[in-house]
Amino acid sequence: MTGAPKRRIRVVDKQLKESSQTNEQGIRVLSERWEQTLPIEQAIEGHAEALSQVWVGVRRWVAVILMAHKPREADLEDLLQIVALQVCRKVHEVRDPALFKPWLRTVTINIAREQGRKATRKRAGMLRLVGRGKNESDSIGSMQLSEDARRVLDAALSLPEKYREPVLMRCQQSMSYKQIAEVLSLPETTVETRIARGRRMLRETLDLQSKQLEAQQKQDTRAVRVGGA
Amino acid sequence: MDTNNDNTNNPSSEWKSENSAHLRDLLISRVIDGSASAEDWSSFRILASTDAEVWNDLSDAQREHEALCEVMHAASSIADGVDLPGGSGSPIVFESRVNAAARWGGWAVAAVLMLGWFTGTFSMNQTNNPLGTNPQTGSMVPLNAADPEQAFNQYLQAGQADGKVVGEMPDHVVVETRPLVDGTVEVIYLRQVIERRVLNQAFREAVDEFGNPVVVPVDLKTLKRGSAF
Repeated sequence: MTGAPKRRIRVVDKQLKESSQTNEQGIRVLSERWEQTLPIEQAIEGHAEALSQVWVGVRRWVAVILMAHKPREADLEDLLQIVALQVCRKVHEVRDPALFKPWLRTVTINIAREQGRKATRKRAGMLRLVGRGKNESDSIGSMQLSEDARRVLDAALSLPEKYREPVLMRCQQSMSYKQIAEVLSLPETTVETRIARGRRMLRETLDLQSKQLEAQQKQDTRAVRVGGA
Repeated sequence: MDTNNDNTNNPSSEWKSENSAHLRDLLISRVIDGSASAEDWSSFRILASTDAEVWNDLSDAQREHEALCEVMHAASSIADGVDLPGGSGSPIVFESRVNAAARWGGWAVAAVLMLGWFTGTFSMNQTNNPLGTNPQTGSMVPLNAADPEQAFNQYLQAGQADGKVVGEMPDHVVVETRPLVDGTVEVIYLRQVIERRVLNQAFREAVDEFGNPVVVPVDLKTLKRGSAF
């Protein structure tokens, strides 16, 4: 290797290191706050105010779990509201505060699947006006996604379930490996392994898609040329 | 649980093992997450010196992570807008409101109570409309100056004149009744409006063999009276 590329690598290396340290510190601070501010025990005992606080602390990762498990056409906001209701109605059934997060994850997954199926059946039987069809992967709520984000999301949603969930959770700002491990009831090392593998699988999926697209484009170009001749 | 968890703690010592591909994934993942230690960085440099492709993989993985973060950011902003139903108050009221909201939200509609309703505006006796609506006639109030009742009546009137509104159902669906401290009763109810549209083209939603939602044109000639799509 020549001197110039080595220097470039060192510069990139240093920048990555610095940005990593900043991110890491930020995540640690946020994680600690997150842990301290959730009055789960009081929420289970029936304090509405505490329950509201807990919900505010967990609703983002609930959204991620819904994203990982819901059918594409199911509406994220609708499902979040159903989870919120279920939390209110059933939280008192949680016997140990330490089990709250795994319990909530199970509730969320069940709702994503069950309500998603219902929504699919219902929508399949409904009349749709021209142009009213909605694809969740084009937008999330009112936010339009970039082309890159749409493509990567589609690929991420095609990952096997055990990789999909932690990979998406890690993209949720402020969720550390430890917090993901708590929600998934897995050791931190397993979470880390799944995230790393999931990312590699995602990379391979997208790489394969790009190659297929490229091959298709070449074939189309050749067909046009033959047609033109 | 994954089988390779034991290899995650000291990547530099494992380079020559058969799990080097797995450790490569871990290092890339740690760099992206900002959790790479000095030892990880050292290992990463060693790896990069023998396999320059790792930089491309890191770059791709970083880009994909950012794209997913964009999606999760959108999901988070939806989650931030979903609060627990009912708000604060006594646990009893809180719980009853939750149950009521669950019912009218369409999630357990079978439990709702239908009550006949009589007001000057919606009397069956005062109208020839088969659905019992009788939007108030008389001078139209400018919409920005109208109260909710007037605005709603204007919508019914304009809709009926236009043919888009058939009428309003005479019965209101009671969601919740709650005695107030001043001796009055608060009633939360649902009003149902029947609308119509004339279509020259219609579609129904279906799912293709890959599970993706697709719209399928409906042959309007084959539709029987009263059939659903």
